[in-house]
Amino acid sequence: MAYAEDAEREELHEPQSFWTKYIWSQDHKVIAIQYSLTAIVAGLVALTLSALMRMQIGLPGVIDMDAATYYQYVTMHGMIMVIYLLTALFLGGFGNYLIPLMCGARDMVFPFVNMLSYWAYLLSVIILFASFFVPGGPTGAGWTLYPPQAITEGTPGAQWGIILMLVSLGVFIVAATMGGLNYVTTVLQARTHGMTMMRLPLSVWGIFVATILALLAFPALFVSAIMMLLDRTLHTSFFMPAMVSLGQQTDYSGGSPILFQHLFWFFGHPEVYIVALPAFGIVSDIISVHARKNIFGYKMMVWAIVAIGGLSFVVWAHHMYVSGMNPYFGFFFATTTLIIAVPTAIKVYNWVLTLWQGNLHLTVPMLFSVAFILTFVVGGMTGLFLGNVIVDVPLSDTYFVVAHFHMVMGVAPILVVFGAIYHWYPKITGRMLNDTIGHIHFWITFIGTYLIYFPMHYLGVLGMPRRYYAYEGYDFLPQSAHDLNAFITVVALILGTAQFLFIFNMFWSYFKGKVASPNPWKACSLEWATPDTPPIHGNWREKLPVVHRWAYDYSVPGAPDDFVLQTVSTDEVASESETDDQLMEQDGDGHQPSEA
Amino acid sequence: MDKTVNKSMMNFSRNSSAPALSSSGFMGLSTEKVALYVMLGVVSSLFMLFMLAYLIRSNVGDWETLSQPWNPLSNRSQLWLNTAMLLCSSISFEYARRMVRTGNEAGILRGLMLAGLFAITFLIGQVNVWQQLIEHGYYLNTNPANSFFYVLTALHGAHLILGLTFWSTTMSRAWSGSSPERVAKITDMCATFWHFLFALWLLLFFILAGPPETIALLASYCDII
Repeated sequence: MAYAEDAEREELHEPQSFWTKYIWSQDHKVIAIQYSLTAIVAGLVALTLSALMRMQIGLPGVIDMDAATYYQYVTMHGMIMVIYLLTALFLGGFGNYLIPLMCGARDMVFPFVNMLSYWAYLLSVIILFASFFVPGGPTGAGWTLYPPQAITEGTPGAQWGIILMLVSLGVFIVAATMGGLNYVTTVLQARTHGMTMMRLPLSVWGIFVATILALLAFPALFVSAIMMLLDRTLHTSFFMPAMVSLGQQTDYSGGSPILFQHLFWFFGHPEVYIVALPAFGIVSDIISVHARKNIFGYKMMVWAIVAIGGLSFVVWAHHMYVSGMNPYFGFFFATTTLIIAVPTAIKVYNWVLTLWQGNLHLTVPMLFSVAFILTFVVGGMTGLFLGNVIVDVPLSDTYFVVAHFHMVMGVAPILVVFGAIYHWYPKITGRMLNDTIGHIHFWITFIGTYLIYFPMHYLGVLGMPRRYYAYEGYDFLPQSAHDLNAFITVVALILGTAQFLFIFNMFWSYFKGKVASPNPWKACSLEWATPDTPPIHGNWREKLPVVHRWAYDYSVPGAPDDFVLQTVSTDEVASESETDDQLMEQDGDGHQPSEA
Repeated sequence: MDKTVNKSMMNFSRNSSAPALSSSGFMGLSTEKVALYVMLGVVSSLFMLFMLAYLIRSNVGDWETLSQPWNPLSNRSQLWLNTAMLLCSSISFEYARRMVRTGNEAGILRGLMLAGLFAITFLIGQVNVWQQLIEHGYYLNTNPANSFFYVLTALHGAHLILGLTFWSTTMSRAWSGSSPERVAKITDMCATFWHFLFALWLLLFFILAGPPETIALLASYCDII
């Protein structure tokens, strides 16, 4: 490739000072770590908020939370988890780390813009967290920020919280766009010798298509954020209808709250796949490595990712069946929603067929990946329920929905995040994560999440409404529902606390973990073929790697090892194999006389 | 083990062949050009969604299209003049791009200078339209059609101002005669961006100040609220 030849000619300028190396770094690996650590810190805040909310719901009286605080925590928990943790971690974290290494590039094509992307992301997090400290606190409008209540007096944070939330989202979108520009362009332009698009690992395909979704869908959120900000600050009426608030006629008129919902979900549904597609890709790679088998149906997997990406733009209004929109749309969106199950099912079948008769190594990354497949199927199945208008209407305001989206969009991707960190940590740091702690962490997380979210489906079918801050005094809820709520809370607290095992493992292993070999999992993809572990600035030495094959040559018949790196040519494998055979023959000749 | 069988089995391994050692990037485009097209995709998405929101919102009863006979934009002379300015700016950039190809340095400078001047005149003209609206009492929040007009023209203007920052660095480089390769590259990219902004403006012009009946008809197709 022209890129590779140019990259080999250009001189590398390694940053020398601490500041340019670790703070204002333009190295994609450092930026990936910065993104990831910031996202994890934000995630821990959101996790703490959820623990407090669960205590309020399940153990009433232990903490005394008022309704306003509860709604503020709900809003911040949801927004942080979806946007500032998952999106940032998958695209900014894994995207940044994996794309150049897996493509065989020296770095992202625009390193300076990449650095700006991280600092803009950090700014958006700071602005968001600043809302905890402004008068009135953060917004309590719910993570979907529906007008009119989001900016109407009486809603928590309607003064400053909502403004900071909208500004923070705007800054985040600018950051995501700068990053996305890099990811897409790098995949298209900066692949090394021989790395065709159809030889890219599925992780790159997942992140690549998810980034395109982000670039096209985030503008919808940007548009709605601008319009709502103007409604709030300059009293335009994009979304705000004529209404009376606290006994006073407001100066709004004619605005359409449903318009906001359309815009929000035009972003919101692709957002599900912005998180899911990288997870799909990463899981495909992890199970292939740890099952020592090539991924089943690679081309089909690629086209399924592309098809899911395309379809994700025509299903948004299935989030709006109860909004009062034209009922005929419901039929259309229910149909598209069910169609999207087809490429998704193809992926699930292909994962299972990859595992089928594989040489399964139940390592920690593999356990998390298999757990993901199971969880995604569970969450996806309940998605089929809710995709149908007639089932969604009675279930929409219940805990069934909470259970569904936490399974499919919360737990499933987070399991992949953990699996991916266990898998690539040795390359990132040069040390292995502690296996025993990893296993304990996995089993608590896996069993814990099922103990939390399975009962929530039951509570939903029972009719327990979501969005309530307290459940005492409602006759329609039997004692068993309260008991189950208490149980869920106890498990949630144990599960939340167990995550500190993972945090501890990350820090402890960084200093004390077993030193990792360059390719501890014996994987085929390019990031494991770097001459240095962790990879140096520029990733490769003078020459960029030459790619001869796809990233899934495991257990190839006749090959000397059960994996063939992408950089190894067929002739090299053959000659190595011949040498091995000769050695075996010599060995055999040498032993025969003594045996005789 | 039979070596022939051995090697043929290894060839079974998917996508294994001699590497393509020399090929250009995506569709033969430069990295910067690909990035520019990606950016144009993002900007298109932003404006398309805004225009759809405009059409959807216009179905509500309080809507007053600014081009109705009794509203200020029924007289579109200033907007047509602005359109002509942006067209001239776009043509000047195209002229500069062609001068780059022929290596005519004076021509490049001439083209760039005219392109910038016309673009700035366009922006002044847009501000003039805003002033006219304000003088007539058509403020940002008096009617949603006004709100959309201000926001969309401001966003379009902001993109042009972003383009002008690149233009100004190219101008200073072309003026001082330094790094002609960089001048050529940015001129080429700016020309594409300018054509895009001109096409976008035509669309905005049509939506914001087009014939009210046509807009109402389009809006009726978007009545999803």
